[in-house]
Amino acid sequence: MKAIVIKNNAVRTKLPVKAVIGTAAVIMIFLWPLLKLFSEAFIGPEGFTLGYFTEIFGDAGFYEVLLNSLFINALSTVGAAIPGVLFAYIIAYTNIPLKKYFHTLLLMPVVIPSYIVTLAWMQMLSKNGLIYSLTGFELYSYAGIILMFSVCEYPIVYLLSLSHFRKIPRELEQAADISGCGKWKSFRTVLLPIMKGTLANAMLLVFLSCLDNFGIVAFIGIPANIQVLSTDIYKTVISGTDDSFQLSAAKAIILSVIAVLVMLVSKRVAEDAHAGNSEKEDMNPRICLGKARYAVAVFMGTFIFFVNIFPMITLVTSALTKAKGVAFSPETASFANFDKVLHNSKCMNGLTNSLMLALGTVLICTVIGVMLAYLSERRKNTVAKSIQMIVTFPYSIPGIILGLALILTYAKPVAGVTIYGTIWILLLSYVIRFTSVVLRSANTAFSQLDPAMEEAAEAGGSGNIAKWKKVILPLTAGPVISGMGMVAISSMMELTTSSLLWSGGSETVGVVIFNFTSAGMSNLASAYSSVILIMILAAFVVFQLLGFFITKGGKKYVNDNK
Amino acid sequence: MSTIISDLNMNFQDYQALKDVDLEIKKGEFVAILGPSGCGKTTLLRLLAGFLKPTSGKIEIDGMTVADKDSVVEPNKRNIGMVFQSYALWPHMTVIQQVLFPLQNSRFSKFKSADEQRKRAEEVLELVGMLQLKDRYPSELSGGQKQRVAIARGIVNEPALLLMDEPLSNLDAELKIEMRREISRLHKEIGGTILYVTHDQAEALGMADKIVVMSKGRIQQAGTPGEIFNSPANPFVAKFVGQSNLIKGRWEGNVFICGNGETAERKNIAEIFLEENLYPVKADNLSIVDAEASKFRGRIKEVEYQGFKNKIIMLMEDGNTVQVMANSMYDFPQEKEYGIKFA
Repeated sequence: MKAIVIKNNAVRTKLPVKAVIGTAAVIMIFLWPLLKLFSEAFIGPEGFTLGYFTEIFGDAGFYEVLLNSLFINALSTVGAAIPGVLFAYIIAYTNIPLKKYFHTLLLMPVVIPSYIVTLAWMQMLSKNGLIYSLTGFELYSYAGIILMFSVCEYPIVYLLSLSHFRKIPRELEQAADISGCGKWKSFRTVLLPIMKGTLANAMLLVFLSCLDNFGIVAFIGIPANIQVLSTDIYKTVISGTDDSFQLSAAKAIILSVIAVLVMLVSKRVAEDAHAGNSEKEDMNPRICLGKARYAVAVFMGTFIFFVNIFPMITLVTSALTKAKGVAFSPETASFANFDKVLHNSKCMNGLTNSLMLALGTVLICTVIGVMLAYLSERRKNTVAKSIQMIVTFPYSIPGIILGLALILTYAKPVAGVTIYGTIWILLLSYVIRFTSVVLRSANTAFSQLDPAMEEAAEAGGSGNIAKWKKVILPLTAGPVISGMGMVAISSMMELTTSSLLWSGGSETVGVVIFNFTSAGMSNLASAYSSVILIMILAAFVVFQLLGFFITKGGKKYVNDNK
Repeated sequence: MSTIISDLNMNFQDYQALKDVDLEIKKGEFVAILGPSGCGKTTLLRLLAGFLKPTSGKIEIDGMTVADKDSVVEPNKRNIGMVFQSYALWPHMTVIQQVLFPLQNSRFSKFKSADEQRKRAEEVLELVGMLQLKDRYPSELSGGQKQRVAIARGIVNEPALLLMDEPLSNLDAELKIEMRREISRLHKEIGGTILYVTHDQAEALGMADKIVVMSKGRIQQAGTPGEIFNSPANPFVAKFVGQSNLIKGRWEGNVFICGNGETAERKNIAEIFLEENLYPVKADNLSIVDAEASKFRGRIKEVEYQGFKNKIIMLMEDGNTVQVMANSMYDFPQEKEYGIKFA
């Protein structure tokens, strides 16, 4: 025991130097670009000015953009909440068959990027398509944007509600039943009021995610001439006028203020969301539906098919038709689009770039994330805790703003090195955006890891390397790997910051699809997206297997201690 | 107004949780279902509440068939109240709101206007001594206070049947005794019909008019606390409720013989004990004597100090293990041989 204490002291005395260097590096990398961006908005040709803000607020168009954003996002949160809560309730409480598969399929929009989903819906609802002739639904409209947001964001509400539903003790609902309430009444008077904190938090996160989104509003909003904050900032940046950077910086501040406010409110709401609930999730069904369970399963399957699967099928079939507007049939099927895509240097370049970027981002984010989580959770290191806050900050800032900030910071060579216009700036932006994802999962992992495990390893005489290799990593691998998977997919599919930071030769998957779609070559975009879909599917399988094999021991340990 | 359970069976896949259960609970009766965990008592309670559908059999509450082979009435349409083991107070409602809730929602509520409902809720809160805390939330209450609110919520509608699911198991020992008295008092004052599920024999013996002992999904014995305690129907009841010794020996007519010929008379002993050649006897009804004074001899294996008394475990010559309660004032040196006398 004594030896361990001395060792800890030794680490402490060495820390200040490391801590200073570490903190400085983190501030430079994660915070400096944003600070630079925010200061830009206040610096005019003659020094400090509020002129850019007065210009923005004097422009009636900006109010329209602001209102559009708020209106679309508000309705989208409702649109995401309804299916999210409904399906969470069904999956959490009923005994429908095939539950595990429904759960996985409901999460499709988490792994398929919103711009591919949007592209698929664009194909499904194209003017000469069957669905359009049946429904007459105009996708290029407010309703269309709101629909796409709802389709892409409902999993946030679904996942948070699912976990909370399972944590509500079943007796609370039974007590309401006994008191004379039917299922609907007890849902309204007992479950929903208990859930409202979680629900509010989930809806605010949806709101935030909508603010951050670029793919949907760019694909549908721009052709429909509906501007929201992110597309407006994008347009201002690429307009290339003298003060375009300053104006967009000022707009970025307004957007950030909204985002940070929403974030703060959501954190506040989440804190008191869990009063009176059990810690453990109760996975057993509570409502036995009898024969009706098949009807519910069919309803659910139909929803999943039309919202998540059928659009993807249309995406693939439209990729298989030679020309835009030709209906798909076995006779018109051709691999011409795939052929073009696979022989297009930009497409292939995009793929390799995105793969390399994903790999690099995962590696760097994991090292930083695991180290920070370990230092703040285990060593109760206050410096590490404050660094955590800095690292998580950019995650709440919409990606378009980060892109803009990086342009402003790195447009000119920094310390003699130019990374703007190369692939390195993309890597940097991904690391800044996604480190907090690994960090959060690592925090979860370390908070679940009993300190005694580590102490036992030290007491057993193992050194640092053996301790990490044999004890810490195997026991924390589960959550960390799922965080890594999330980062891999997010960076592979990133579009928002990439749309500002890419340059010839450093296109990414998202950028290639964006450029095809903007240029009206939606069949090529579909073919390319189909290739990506297959890759996502493969990656999903690999990560499932990987997680399964690595966490076997770790999961057992966690369960034993609950 | 009685509750009649006839020929009730409950299967979970291939596991039979209840077998041919028949039971009548008369109006105003306090019935305790007593049994070890896994005996089916909770299943029976859940069937009465309507959370489960029986495999076969019939349940009638207050003249209304709530479950038979054709149909099951949902919990909200049964005239019942329930007190949960975990209290199950809604975290988002104040004390008075919890108690008002059944009044406002139950079709059996006799209190229709908002005024009547408020008056009734306050009356019941007064009865359980929680009126002064009526605006608190559950998170601001202690365990005993939560328990009182849960009881108030259960009885507020004067249900035809009040179900209580181990309501005292989450309380500490002192509070348990206090709440036991409280529940008995409430039962006397309001006179409702209560079905009380517990694994604690002291609770059952202390409060109930009738005890139903269950094991392995079957009713082992039903009767007054005195009957259950003094004349157990079978070895299981003798062990579980009476904590009796089951001494192995042989019966000759109405005389039990064990050891080297020590005898005991048949008093209130069911036929099944004779068939199994067992003699049920409580530790209190045995005394330790010098080896020469008895033909049932053995050595002391363990002495457990219990305050006033010592619980002495003896290993007898004929292989029986016997528990004897002896005044802790007397000291029995362990190396000696002793005899046992039936009182």
